[in-house]
Amino acid sequence: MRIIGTLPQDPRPWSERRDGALADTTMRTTIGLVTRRLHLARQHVYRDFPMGETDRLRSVKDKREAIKNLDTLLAEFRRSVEDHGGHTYLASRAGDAVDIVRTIAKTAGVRRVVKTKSMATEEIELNQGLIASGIEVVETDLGEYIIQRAGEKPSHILAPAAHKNRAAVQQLFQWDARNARMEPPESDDPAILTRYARERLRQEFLQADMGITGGNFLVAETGSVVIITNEGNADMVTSLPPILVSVVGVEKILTDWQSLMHIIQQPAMNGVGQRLSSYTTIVSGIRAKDGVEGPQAWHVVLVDNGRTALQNSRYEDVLSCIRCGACLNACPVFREIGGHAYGSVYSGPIGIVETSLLTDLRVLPELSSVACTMCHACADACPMDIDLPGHIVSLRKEKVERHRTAKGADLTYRWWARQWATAKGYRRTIRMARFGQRVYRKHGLLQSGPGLASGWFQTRTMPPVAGQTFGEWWSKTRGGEGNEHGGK
Amino acid sequence: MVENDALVQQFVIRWEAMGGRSYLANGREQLRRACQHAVGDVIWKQSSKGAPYTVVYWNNPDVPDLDWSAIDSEGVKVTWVPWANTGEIRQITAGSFLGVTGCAWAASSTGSVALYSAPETGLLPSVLTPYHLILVPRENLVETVGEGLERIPRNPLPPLVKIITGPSMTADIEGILVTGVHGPGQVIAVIYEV
Repeated sequence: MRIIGTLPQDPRPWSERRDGALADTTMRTTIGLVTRRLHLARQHVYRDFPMGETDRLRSVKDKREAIKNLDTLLAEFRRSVEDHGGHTYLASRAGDAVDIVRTIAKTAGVRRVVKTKSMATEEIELNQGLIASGIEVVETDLGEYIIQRAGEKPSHILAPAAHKNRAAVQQLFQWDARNARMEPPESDDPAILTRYARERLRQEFLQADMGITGGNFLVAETGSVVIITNEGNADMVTSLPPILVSVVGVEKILTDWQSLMHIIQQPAMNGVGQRLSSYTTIVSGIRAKDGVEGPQAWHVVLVDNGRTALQNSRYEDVLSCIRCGACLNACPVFREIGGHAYGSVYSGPIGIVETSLLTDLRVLPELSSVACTMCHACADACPMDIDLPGHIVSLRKEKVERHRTAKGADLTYRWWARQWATAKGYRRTIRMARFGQRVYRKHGLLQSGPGLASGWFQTRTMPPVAGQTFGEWWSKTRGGEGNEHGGK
Repeated sequence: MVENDALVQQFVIRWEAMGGRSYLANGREQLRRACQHAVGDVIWKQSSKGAPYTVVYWNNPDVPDLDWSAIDSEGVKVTWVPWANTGEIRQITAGSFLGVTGCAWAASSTGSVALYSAPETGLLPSVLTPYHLILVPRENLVETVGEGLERIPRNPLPPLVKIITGPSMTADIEGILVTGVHGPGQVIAVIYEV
């Protein structure tokens, strides 16, 4: 049976989300800067480290193969984790995953949780679920901490708080310091703001009863969860609290240690243009009996939420995504509107595709039409060779076939296509436009149009249809004189 | 050995490119002097913070016994605490300014060092302190992270393996790079041969 996933959804319509993003100059400046810089860094790292390309090609092959054998590998992974003292769970739906984590926390009497950044937990809205049960959840990635304090959502997979400037962060931290009875940061210098966060979060790490991480890779052969960060918060979360819960999408599976050796550098190379991120943490078991670090209890929650439904479909390669963010950094649309406008958890080209696919076009089906210019920059950037533009075209087609587009748009385009399918129909629409345009004409230009067309005119004008078009002039002056261009 | 020299050179270039600092030491005396210098340097950097200065170090063969407790910095009192599996070590480490550890291997093409968690080789001195000093014997150098991963004992795997490639860093505020967000803001490698 096909499991259809669920994703959080911004209730605002696309036009509002888009206009909101375009009006946010802080976000646009930072996102513009960060995406271009990371995109360039990615090109440089491949140039200076040719082995990265060999590894990448090998990883594409490994990952495709692992997805083909997903069921077997997940079973092997679970066995390996359990052999090393861990517990595993398979959550078919987002809500199931939240229930599992909540039960683990409640059973152990957990009151404070520290978390690393994890898109999977954003996807299942884990924080809301735990907070509703009276458990305190603290995000420890600096960017995530900032937006958690502000009650917002991440605007970039790797730079979640890219829409906040230093003044806004200082204000948030001053308020946060009052609540925590700490010295507030004395200026808005990013180094000082970061030092405040270090001291503030240090207490949380040491006091937390439970740590929650995501995972970049799962190794079936060894039962390992691999977590990559630049801040080192995953090292705190995996070594300090007595209970560790790793919430990871099933598609993060790798067959064996060999595959890990090839793919381990790819997230950093493609995401931030480094050969490796500052910290790579590999969790493969629980704390030794007489040990003082690492989890005493380790739970791995494997999340499906619509993923396995893509197996054996034309979209199967999407499950190879390593969440590096390279397609976001390359995308001209993302560079302008940032992540929030996409309206769910995943943004950029991969967001367009995954939001529609995980939810079987139930959530934000407009994305493939509104947030892509078909420039193919994402296809060049994707290290896993995912056919992002091909999928976007295919989703547009599927959307029309399955009547998932807005009724008005559907009827308009069908009517338009029928008219312009013949020369006669085309000429008829021109005559109609000439007649109708009077209402929309101002200062000699068309400033708006009826129905759907009005959207097009929001940022553009157009010369009006001439009193006599070239075609009309031609048939009037040369038509019927037997020359080859006809005009009948 | 030429090959090893090339690995050392490459490691230093990559490690420093990622923001790490490094020392090369040949023989026990140079190693001791390098460590003494590194400790003095970080104390000098910390000077505004004031004493006490506590260092937690691995008390196992990965860290050569250099008579650590005799190392101080121009009269500044340094307390040297060997890593041990006791309840208090966590708080002591959290309050220390420097962690001294060895490493299982170091990869030169990425400038990375790897640590395995075990009762005598705790990871916390590489996590909780603002500075981290890592002793890297030359023979522990490999070329790639892949080669390093291959070296990790598989049956069973250490419960936690950590690969460090530079200091803890973030660019989450306006894309500006800041080091020392959660883990050490400065990592110092001493590559040595005794």
